Amino acid sequence: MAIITISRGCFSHGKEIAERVAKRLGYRCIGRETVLTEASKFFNVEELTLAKSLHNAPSILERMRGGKKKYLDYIKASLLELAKEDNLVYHGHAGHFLLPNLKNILKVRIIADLEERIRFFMESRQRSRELAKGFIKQEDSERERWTRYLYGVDISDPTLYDLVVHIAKLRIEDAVELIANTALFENVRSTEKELSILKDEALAMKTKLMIEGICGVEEVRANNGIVYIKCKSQRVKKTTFSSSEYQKRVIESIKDDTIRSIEEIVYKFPEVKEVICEIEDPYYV
Amino acid sequence: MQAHLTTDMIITLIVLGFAIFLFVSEWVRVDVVGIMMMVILPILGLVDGKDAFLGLSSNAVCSIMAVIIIGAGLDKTGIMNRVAGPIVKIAGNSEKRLLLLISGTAGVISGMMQNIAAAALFTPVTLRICKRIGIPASRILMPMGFCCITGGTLTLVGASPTILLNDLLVVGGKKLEPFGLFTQTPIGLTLLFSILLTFMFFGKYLLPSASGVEDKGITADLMQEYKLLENVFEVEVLNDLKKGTTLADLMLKERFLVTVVGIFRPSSGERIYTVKGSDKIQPGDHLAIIGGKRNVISMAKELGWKVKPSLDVFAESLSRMNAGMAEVIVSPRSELIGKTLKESKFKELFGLNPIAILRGNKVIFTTISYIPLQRGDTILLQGPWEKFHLLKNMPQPRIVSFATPLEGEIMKTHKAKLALIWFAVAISLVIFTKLRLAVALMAGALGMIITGVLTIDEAYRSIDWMTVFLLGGLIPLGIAFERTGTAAYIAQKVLSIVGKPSPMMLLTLVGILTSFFTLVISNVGATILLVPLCINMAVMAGTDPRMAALVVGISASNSFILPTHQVNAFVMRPGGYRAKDYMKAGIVVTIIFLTVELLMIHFFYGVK
Repeated sequence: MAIITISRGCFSHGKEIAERVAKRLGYRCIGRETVLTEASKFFNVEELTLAKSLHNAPSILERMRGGKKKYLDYIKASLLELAKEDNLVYHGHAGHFLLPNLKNILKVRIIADLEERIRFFMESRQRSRELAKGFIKQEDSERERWTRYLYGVDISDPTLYDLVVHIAKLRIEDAVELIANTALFENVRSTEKELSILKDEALAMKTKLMIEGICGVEEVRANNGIVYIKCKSQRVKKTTFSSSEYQKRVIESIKDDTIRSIEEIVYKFPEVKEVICEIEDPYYV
Repeated sequence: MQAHLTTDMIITLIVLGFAIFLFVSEWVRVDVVGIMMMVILPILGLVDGKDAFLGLSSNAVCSIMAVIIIGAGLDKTGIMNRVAGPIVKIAGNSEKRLLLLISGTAGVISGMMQNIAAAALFTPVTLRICKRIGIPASRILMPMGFCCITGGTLTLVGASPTILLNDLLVVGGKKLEPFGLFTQTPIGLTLLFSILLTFMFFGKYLLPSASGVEDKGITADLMQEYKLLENVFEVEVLNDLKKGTTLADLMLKERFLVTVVGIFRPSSGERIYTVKGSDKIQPGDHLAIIGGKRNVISMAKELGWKVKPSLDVFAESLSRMNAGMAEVIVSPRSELIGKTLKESKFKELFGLNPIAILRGNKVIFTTISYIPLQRGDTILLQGPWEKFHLLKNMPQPRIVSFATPLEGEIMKTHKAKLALIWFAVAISLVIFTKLRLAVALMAGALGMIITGVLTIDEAYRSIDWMTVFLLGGLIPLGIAFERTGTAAYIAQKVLSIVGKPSPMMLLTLVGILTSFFTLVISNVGATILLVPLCINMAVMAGTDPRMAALVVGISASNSFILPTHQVNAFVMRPGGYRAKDYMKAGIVVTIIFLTVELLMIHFFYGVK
C-alpha cells in the first residue's frame, strides 16, 4: 500500500534489504535491470544505452545536446508504469528522482561504512582489497557527478530522503524492520488520489515519448484516461509561389495528418479514453 | 580595381546580417522581414525612398501574380483534371510505367503552375490507382512530389527564384540580357528525367514500402458517423414488377433502411438524381442506393435484384469529385421550421436528397419527409456538389447553415476552352514578342478574368501575398547590395581567398552554396542574397555572369531533404512517410540534382 524506493551506494546491502522488505510486506521487488528491460522492450531502445544513461555522468557534448534526458525519460516512463500498480519496492539508482514527489512514495537511502563495503565486495567477488576500494570509490564519484549534473543536487544530502539508514550499529534485519514499519504508517499509505496521479503521469510520459517522432511536443497531460496533448507548430517551406487557398490546404492537411498519427499511437494504450490534441497552425516561412 | 570598404557597405552588411539572422531564427515570418527591408533601407539612406517599393512593381512580382492567376484559371476549369485522367488510364498496371507517367506529367504541369497545385491534383488519383493495382502508395508519391519540385525549373515562370532572376541581372549598374521563358528548359528537362530514372532504377532502395493512408474525405467520415450508411451501391432491377410500381410502393426505406439516390433508365437514357417516392421503377433500371452493405444485400435478395460489385453507370456522376454528402442545420429563422420536407418541396427546389435527420441524439432514417422540422435539426444531405454550392450561396436569410465544410469545388468546365486560349495567348506573347514577361503573362491573366474564367475576387484570392511581399522587400536589399558596391567587394575578397577558380569550379561552388542556403533559409531569400554576389564573382573570374545567376536560380529548387517543404509535407501522410525517408531519398536526389545541373551547364551551355 506504498511504494518504497531504496537508493544506496554499491555494496551497501541495498539489494538484500530491498528484497527482504518486499518479502516482509508482500510487495513486488524490482531492480534497475527490470526497469531497463521493460523500457528497452517498450520503446525499442538498446538496453545498454539506457543502462549507460543511468550510470555515467553525461559528457560535455551530451550535456550540450541534452542527450541523456531522453533516455532517462524512457526509464522514467517504465518505472512509472511499474509503480502505478502500487505495492512496490524499487532498489536502484535514481528511483527517488524519477518518481514524482508523492506522499505514498517512501524514499529511503541506505548507507554503510566504507570499510564494511570493501569487506563485502572482497567477500562476494573474491577480489583484492585495492581493487575493491578503487571500484567503490570510482562508482561513488560517478554517481555523485551524475546527480549533480542531471538534478543539481548532492546525492548525500539527507533532505532528499524520508529515511536514511546507516548499516553499522543497525543490522540488516533492523533496517528491514524499520523500513517495513515506516511503510505502514498512515501518512505513507497510498490512497486513490496518489495512485490516479501515478497512472496519469505514467500515461502522459509514455504518450510524450511515443509521439515525439511525429511532432514537437510542448506539453502532455493526462487526467483519468483523457490525454491532452499540445504540440508545437511546424514550419512549411516552398520552392515556388502558392496561393493562399493551397497554403490553407497544406496547413489543414499537416494538422489533420499530425492529429491522426498521434491518435493512431495513443489510442493503442488501453487506458486511454479520449485524446485531445491542440496543435498550433503550421506556419509558412 | 581595388574596392575599399565604405561606411555604406558596412551598414549594408549589417542590414544583410540582420536579415539572414531573422531568416534563420524565424523570429518573424520571412515576408515580414521583406517589409522591414522596405522600411529600414530608405531610412538608413541605402536606397532612395522611391526605390524602396520598386520591388512591388517589379517584373518578378507582377509575373508571379499573373502566373498564379493563370494557374488558378486552368485549375478551376478542370483542365488539369482532364490531363490527369487519361494519364492514369494509360499507365495501366505496371508500377514503373505508373511512376514514369504520373511523376513525369506532374513535373511538366508544375513547370507552368504552383508545384503544390500539381501535387494536390495528382495525389488523390495516385492513391486510388495504387490501391486498385495493389502497390504501396509510398512507391509513387515521393517521386511525384520530387518531380513537382523539380518541374519548377522547367520554365522561367515555374518557380519564384527563376522569375526573380531577370530583375537581379545587373552588373555595375548595367542590365544583362534577360533570360527567356525556355532558356533553362534543357536543364529542367534533364533534371526531371534523371530524377525519374533514379527512382525507376533505384526506387526500391530509396523508397520505403508503406501503404500510406487514403484521405477518405468528409463524405466517408459522415457515412461512418451514421452507422447505417456504409457505401453507395448500384443495383440492377431484374424481375418483372407490376407496371407502374413506384418507389413508395416498395417501401425500401422502411423495410431495409436504405435510400435510393439515383435512377438510370437504359431504355430512355434518363438519369434522375433527386429521387421521389412517386418515381416509377421498371425492370432493367439501375438504382444507386446508400445504405449498409448487409441491408442492401438482403434487400436485393428479397426483391430478386442484382447488386453490382462496384459503381458502374453511376461511377462518374457519384464519384467523390462530383457528388457527396454534407450536414446542414435548420437555421433559427428558417422557413423550413414547422414544415415537413415534403411540404417545403425541398428535393424539387434544391436537387439534394435528404438521407437522415439528427434531432438531439436521435437519428431518424425513415419517414423523414413527413416530420415537421424544428430549429436546430441536422439534416444529412446527398447530392452533386454544385447543388450544395447553390444552397450555400443562397441570399440571406438562409434556410439552413452548413455544419460540415463542402468537399467539392465547382468546376467551370464550360470555360475550359477560353482558359486554354488565354493560356496559349500568354505563352505566345512571352515566346514570340519582346514584351516584358510580366506584361505578357498579365495579358493572359486579364483575358481569363474578362471572359469570366474566374472572377476578379477569385483572382485576388489566389495570389500568394507572402511571396509578393518577400520579393518586394528583398529586391531593394539586392539593389542596395549592388549599388553600394558591397557585392563586388565581398566577391573580390572571396576570390582573393580562393584564388582564381576555373569557371566550372566557381559554378560548382555556387551550386553547392545555393543548395545549402535554400535548405536553411527561404529560396527567394537565398536567391536575392547570392545572385548579386555570384554575378560579381563570375565577372571577376571571367565566367559568364548569367550562367552563375542561372545556377543560383535553379539550385534554389534543390530542396528535398526535409519534409518541411510544402509538397513533401503534403504527400507525407498519404504516402505514409517518415522524416528519415525524406532524408534518405532526399540526399541522393540532392546530389544527383547538383551533378546533372552542372554537367548540363558544362556540356550544353559550353561553360568550360
